[in-house]
Amino acid sequence: MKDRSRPRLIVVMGLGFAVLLAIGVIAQAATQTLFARELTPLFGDAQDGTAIGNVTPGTPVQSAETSSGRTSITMDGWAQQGGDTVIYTAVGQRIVLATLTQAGLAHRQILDTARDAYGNTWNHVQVTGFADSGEFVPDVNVVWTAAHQLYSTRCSACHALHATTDFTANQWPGILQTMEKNAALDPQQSALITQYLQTHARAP
Amino acid sequence: MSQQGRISRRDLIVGTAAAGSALVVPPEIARAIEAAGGDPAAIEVVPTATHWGMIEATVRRGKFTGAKGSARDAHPTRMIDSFADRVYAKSRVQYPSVRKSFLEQGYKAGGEGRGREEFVRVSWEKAFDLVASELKRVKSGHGNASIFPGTADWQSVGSLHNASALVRRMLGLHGGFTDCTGDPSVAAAMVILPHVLGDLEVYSQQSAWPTIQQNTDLLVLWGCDPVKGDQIGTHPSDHYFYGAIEKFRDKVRAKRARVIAIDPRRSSTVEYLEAEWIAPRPNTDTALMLGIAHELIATGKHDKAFLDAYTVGFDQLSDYITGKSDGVAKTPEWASKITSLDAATIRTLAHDMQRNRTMLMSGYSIQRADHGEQPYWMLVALASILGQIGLPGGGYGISYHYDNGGDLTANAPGIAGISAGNNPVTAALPFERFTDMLLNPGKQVPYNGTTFTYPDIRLIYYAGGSPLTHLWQTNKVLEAWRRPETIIVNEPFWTSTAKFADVVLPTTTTFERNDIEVCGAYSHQYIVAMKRVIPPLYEAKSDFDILAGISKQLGFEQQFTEGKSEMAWIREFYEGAQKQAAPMKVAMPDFETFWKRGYVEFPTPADSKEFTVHADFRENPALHPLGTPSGKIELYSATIAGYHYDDCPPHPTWIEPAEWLGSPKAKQYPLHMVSPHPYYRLHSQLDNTWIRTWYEVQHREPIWINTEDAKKRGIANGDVVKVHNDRGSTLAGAMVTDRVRPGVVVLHEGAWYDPDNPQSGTPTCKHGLPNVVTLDKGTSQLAQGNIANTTLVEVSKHEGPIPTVTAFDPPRVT
Repeated sequence: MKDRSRPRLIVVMGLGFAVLLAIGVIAQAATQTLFARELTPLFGDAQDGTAIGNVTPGTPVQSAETSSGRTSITMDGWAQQGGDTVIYTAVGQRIVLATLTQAGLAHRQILDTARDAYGNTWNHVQVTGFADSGEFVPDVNVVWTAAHQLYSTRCSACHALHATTDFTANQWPGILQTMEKNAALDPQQSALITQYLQTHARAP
Repeated sequence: MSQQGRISRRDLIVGTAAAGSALVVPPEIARAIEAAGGDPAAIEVVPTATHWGMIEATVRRGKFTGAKGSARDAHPTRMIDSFADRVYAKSRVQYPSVRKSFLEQGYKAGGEGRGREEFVRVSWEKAFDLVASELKRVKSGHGNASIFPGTADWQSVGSLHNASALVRRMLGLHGGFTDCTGDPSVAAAMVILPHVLGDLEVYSQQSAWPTIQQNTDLLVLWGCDPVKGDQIGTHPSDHYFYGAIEKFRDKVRAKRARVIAIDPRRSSTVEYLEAEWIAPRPNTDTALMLGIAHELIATGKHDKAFLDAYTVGFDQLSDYITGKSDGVAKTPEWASKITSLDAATIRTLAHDMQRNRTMLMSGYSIQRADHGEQPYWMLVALASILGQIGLPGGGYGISYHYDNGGDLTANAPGIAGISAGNNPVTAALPFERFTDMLLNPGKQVPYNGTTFTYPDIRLIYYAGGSPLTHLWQTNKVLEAWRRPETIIVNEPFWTSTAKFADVVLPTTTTFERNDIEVCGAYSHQYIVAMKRVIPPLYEAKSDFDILAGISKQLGFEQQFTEGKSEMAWIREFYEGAQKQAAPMKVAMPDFETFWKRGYVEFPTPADSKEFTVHADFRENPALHPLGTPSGKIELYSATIAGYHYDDCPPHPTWIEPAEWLGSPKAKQYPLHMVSPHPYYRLHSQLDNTWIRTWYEVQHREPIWINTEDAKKRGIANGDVVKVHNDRGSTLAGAMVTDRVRPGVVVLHEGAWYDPDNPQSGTPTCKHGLPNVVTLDKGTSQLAQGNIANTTLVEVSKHEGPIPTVTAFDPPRVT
């Protein structure tokens, strides 16, 4: 497993915790690393509401259970300035962790900035929100096993199945987008396979 | 002229068909109808679909007698007149057949007798048993990696009867196989473009034709022939292009747009659009583009704002173009020496492109050449320098000639076809190295920053294609083809590959089985029922049934078929599409209604007409980055720099091809041969039908040779000629024409191979297969793509008796 399955050192404190308290939800003190099973709507509060974004399959989140059926989650990632609504795993490594709506930008905190070798400026961000508890699993391999099964079933019909390492993480999404209609993938399936291929891609 | 004679004869035939009188009935079919006791009233019309589009097949008293385009196809191709003849062709494989010595001695017979021994008819039981025991033997003796199914070829359309997927499905259940990646059409492009643009691009939807109609002032056809190429499709062609190009021709005729073709030949599209024709030496496209770029930079006309905002590496490329980095300025004069075009022509081209909304439309041919990565990279660089990428009607397009790119995308679900499933053997190699792999097991080969090791292939199981036709440098292929212990082929026809196999299993044609398919590779406008037109002929079985039979012998029939019949699979595919369509709010009838009607059509949203490639990237490159390391167009690639390949430097570069008109070898072989896709075939498909009489010259594949070159060699139109170099020779029929520039000959690919003496190490092909003279070499260490269009030859008049063509005769089967 590559970087994404490794728990990230994230301290859920500050803003996220304050929000929890403010809306009166009892949060457990202990947090754990969980992984989104599929493309999962992200909400701004623990109650019903309009989604402020989506968390992609396999994305690791720091989660604290709530009593409302929603879990509070925190993600750590990077967004390119000018394209702030897309949160990636690392500078220049465009594996999407989450996408936000414009309203969702209020739920991210900028921790740091960096420039890549090509002159692009990146924000190190932490995103905090809520999602339905049932959408997360403790073992990321559950997600990737399902993804591999779907990938090998659908993508082998027209051509030899590519090794995940045939392309880089940045290259895979465009390729999937080109192919998704031929493989009859719905948006959920396409997101699952994209994240799987990106996470297991060749090093840039 | 015999050329005119052929064309007028063809027009006469087509005219007859269009007049709606009795379908054109070749003699073989006429005999079949007669044999059936022909009652003209007993006619049935059955809808189905092929690579050539949706069609209606006519059946008279149980015989398939002809086909016409579906009412939903406004521009059907004339090639469908061949279908009935193809089904009843003399070249059909009728029974399971085994090479004589292989039947007697098994694999110990060795490969030397392939292609010359007779075959013995066996029962299906015997055939299944033989194939299953060979698969077991090779697996236990040499491991699964020694089994090779070749590439996924064109075969037939259909979501179930997908021969290459079905072979892989069976071999996967058997424990796996060495697979191969890549696509011989676009091998160099598929590797270079992800580095430059972050995507394959060659299979991507193109900017919609209405955006070109409305915005393009200058259309540059760079080795691009969509009038020919869009007749066919990976999915049934919907022929959208032909309506679009008719409108565009009106615009050209009204002088509201210009078309310039850069091509060594006057292609069908050049003729159709009455385009201006510029004919550089083949394989010099990169140099021409560099000369154009130099002129734009030297006159300050390069789009600095675009280059700054959307690309990286322009400085390095610019230093190369101006000569700052290597001391050679790539001026129009420099490019003139390489391309043979006037420097003034190159300058004019540069300024015409820059002044106008210009679409650079390229075919795949320029990258099927030595260092074929470079022209595509430089095409993108030139489009970046012009700064019109992402603007309607501007930029570049590399898939307009293929699958009707630029078609309008419908709001439609897809069809998930039968899966090849899991392959436990993970090693795969680029298909282009097939021959080298058979000859050099264990050899290590660089490829796109990695190294792979050739496996030791003992068994080949090929279905749905003919590698002996499409692999390069045939005499080298023949040597390699003797190496494997066992070669099994599923084929409806006695292709050269079938004739050179050990076990040949007769498969049905698409007209002898039911299937389902999406029509319109980019539009997805229809899902079509592919209904069985006639029962299987002779002892032919579908690939599905054949591989299920082998799976039964190997103990995994249930896993292979999942207990489902042909119609159960088709229904499942359709219902899968229904499920996908529901959340899209797209209505689909139930399966029975669909099957009865024969198709379901999907709506085309209005915004499909406005689609422009990379418009979103242009709008906000930070939000819609490309899939490159920088997120931008990479005119210099740090990744490729890190590979340290001398044959693929980190920015577009002119590198002399292995052979070309400017090389010393041109003294001995002074003609550059290009081998584009044929007009009246799909690669080699349909060559075994009567429509070859539309184009053949003295029963051979025509070779286009310029009047001046023909005169020098005493060749007259209609002569049989010998095309040769130090790799081999083939006969062909001379078509003397000024549609090709001097110094270049055109021999379209796909003529069936017909060796005069299969025992010899270097037989002459009697029929005109260009690969006998092509060179088996990779484009570079990056892509290892084929270089079919890098071939020098000499052409001379054939002396002595003209041998009879036997390419379409079955071998002796006892």
